Amino acid sequence: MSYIVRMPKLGVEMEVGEVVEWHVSAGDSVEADDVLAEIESEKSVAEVAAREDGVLRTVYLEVDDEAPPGAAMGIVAGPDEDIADLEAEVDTDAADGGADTADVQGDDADGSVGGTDSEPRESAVASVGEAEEGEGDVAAARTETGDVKATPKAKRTAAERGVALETVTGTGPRGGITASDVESAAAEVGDAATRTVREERGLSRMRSTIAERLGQSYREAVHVTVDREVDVEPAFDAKNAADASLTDVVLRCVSETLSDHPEFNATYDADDETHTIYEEHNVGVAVDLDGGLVTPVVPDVGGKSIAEIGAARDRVTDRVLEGEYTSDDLAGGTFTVSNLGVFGSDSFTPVINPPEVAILGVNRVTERAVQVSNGISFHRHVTFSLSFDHRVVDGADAARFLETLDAYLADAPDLVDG
Amino acid sequence: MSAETADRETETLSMREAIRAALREELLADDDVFIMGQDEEDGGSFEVTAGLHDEFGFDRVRNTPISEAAQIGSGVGAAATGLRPVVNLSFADFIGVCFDQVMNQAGKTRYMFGGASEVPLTIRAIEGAGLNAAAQHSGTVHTLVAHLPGVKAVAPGTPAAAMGLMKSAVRSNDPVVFFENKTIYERHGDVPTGDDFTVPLGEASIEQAGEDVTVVATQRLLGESIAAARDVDASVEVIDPRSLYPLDTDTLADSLRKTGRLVVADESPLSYGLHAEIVTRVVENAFWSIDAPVQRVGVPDTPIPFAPSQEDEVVPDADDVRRAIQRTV
Repeated sequence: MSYIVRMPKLGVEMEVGEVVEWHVSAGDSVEADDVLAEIESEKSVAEVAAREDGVLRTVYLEVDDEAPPGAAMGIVAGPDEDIADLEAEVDTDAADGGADTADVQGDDADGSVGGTDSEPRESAVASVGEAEEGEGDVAAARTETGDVKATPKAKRTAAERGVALETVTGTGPRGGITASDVESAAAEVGDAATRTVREERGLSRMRSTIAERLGQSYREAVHVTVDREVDVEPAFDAKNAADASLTDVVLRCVSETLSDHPEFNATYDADDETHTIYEEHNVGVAVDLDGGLVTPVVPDVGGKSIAEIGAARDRVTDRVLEGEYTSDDLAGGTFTVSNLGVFGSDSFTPVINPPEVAILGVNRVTERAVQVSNGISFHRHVTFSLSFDHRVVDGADAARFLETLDAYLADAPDLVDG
Repeated sequence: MSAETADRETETLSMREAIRAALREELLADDDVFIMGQDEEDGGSFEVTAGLHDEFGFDRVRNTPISEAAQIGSGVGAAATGLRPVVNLSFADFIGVCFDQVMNQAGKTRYMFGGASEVPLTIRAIEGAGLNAAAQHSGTVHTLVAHLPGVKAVAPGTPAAAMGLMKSAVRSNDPVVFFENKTIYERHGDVPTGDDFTVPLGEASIEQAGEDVTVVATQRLLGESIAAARDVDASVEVIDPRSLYPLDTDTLADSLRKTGRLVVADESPLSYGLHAEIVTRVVENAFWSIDAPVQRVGVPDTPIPFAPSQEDEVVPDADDVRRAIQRTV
C-alpha cells in the first residue's frame, strides 16, 4: 500500500499549516505510527504520523513551507512500489489549487460475469463497492463533493461527543471516518469539557437595554475605581437622630460632596468632547429587580432636607418595585449611587451609568477596631467604591472626592440637623 | 444455536429429515392435510417425502401430472374448499408456469371475497444452484414470491427452522411458499423434539451472536457465512431471517444498532431483490447506527450457467462473504 501524506486539518478554522520539522528524510524507512513531521497551524502544533509501514519516498513541503489542509506533504510507499499514480494525483491537486483533494474513484457495482476482462477476476460474484477495494487509500476523508466522508454513526457520535469531524482521521472502509475514529479523536482530546445546552434564554427587553447601555459604557468610558473605607459611626448617629435611613444620610453627604466637586455631577459627550456640569444633583439610586436593575432618579437632592430626600427616594423606589415607573423616573440623572452592601459586598467596580461620568458604590457595614483617645473602640465602617470615567476626571480627583465624602460623613449629625 | 434449541431436548436431523418429519407430524395430526406433486409417491425429486406414501396411502400422498399449473391450481381449489394441501412444485424456476395460480388465485382469494374464503395452501419450491443442473433448474426465485401481497414466503437455513416453519406453514390459513435450497438437504443440525415445537412465520434467528458485523444470510449462504466468520478478525453476528415475508425487521435493525455494519448474503440475483429489501428496512430503522458501507453478496444478474466452471464463478461462497465482511471493517 502507498499513500499521500497530507497536511492535516487541526481545527475547523485552520487555513494553513507550516512544516516545523521533518523527523525523517526522503528515502528513510518508517513504521506505522512513526512521527513523520511536525506541523504548526495558526493555533496549534501537531505531529503527522505514518499510517502504515513504508519508505518516505518523496517530500513536497520543506521545513517552513506553508500549505492548506489536505495539501500533499509527501508520499509513503513500499521501497520499490510504483508511485506514479500518486505523483500524478499530487500534480493534479497542484493544478486544481491543492487542498481538500477529493476521492474520485469509479463506481463499479455491476455483477456481470468477467469473461471478457483482460485480467482474470478473483470471482465474478457481484458485490457492491468491491471494485473500490485496494485502489489507493485516501488521506483526507472527503467525498468527491468535498463533504466529510463519515458514516452516519460517526456523525451521530461526533455530535454527541462534540468532536469536529474535520479533525478526525478516517481509518474505515474506503478511508471513511467511523464511529471508532471519532471515539479515538475524542479520547486524544482527553477530558475536554463538553457543554450540553440545558436551556437557551433570550434576553428580556429590560435585560437587553441593560446589556446595550452598560456594554456601551464599559466599551467607551475608561473605568477606574477608587475605594475608601470610611468610619460611619457619625452617619449612624445622624440617621438615628433624624429617624432616617443610612442611605438618605449618604445621599445627603454625596450631595454636599458634589457641590465641592461639581465635575462629578456631570455627563460626557465623547462625540462633541463636551463635559457638561449641572446645577441640580439628580442622583440615580440603583434598585435590584427580578430580571434586571433600574436606576430611578431622585431629583435635586441638593435642594432637599433629609426627610424630603427619604420621601422622594421612597416614592420612586416604590414605583419601580411595583413596576409602575415610567422613563421619566429614570431620566435626567447626573450621578448614581449603587448599594451592593445590602448583599454583603466588601468592594466592587460599579459600571458608570452613561452618559454620567461617575458612580458611587456602597459596600457593607463592618465593625473595625480604631484607636481612640482612651484606648480602642469598635466603629462601624463602610467602603465606598467610586468608579469614574478617566477620560474626564483623574484618579486624584476621585480620591479627593472620597476624602471630602469622608469628611461630610464625619459631620453628618450637623448636616442632618441643618 | 438459535433460541428455539437453547433450552429443549433435541435430536440431530438433516434438512431433508426435518422437513419429512414435519410433514409426517402434520399428516398424523390433521386428516385434512395431504401431499401432492410430481413423483411424490416415490419421495419426489429429492426424496424428501420418501416413505410417506407407503405409510399414509394414495389419499394422503399422491402424484400429479407434469403440470405446475394443474398442481398449484388444484391445490388452491382444494385449500379453498377445506383441505390443507402441501404441493411440491419441485423446481422453483417453473413457478413461471403457475404464476397466475400463485399470484392471482392463492394470494388474492381471501382479499377478493372479503375474507369469506381462505387458502391454507403450502407450496414446496426447490431452488438454488450448484448441482450443474442448468439455468431452468438452478435459479433462486424467492424474491419473486416474497414480493406478492397475500402470499407468505419462508426460506429456512437450518433443520430446526425447516421443521418449525413447515409445521407453521401447514397450519397457516394463508398460502405459504416454502423454499428449500436443494444443495443443503444433508445439512445437519439440532432440532427440538416434541409436537409443540414450531417456528412462527416472521421471526428471524440469531444463529451466531457477535459484536462487530451483522451478516444476514439465507439458506446455503447461512452456512457459508458462519464459515466465513471464522476467517475474519471481527466478531460476526450471523442471522437467518428464515421468513422472507413477513420479514423480522426488528431483529435485523437491533443487530445493526449493535454492530453498525451490515452484510446481506442471499443467492438471489442482486438487482431488485431480497438484499435491497433487507438493506432498506435496516436503513429506515437504524440509519444513525450505520458505520460502514453496506455490502451485498448474491448472484450477478445472469441465469445460472450450465458449464460447471462458470456456475462456480457466479455462485457466491464463504470467500465472497468473507471479503464482504472485510470491506466493512
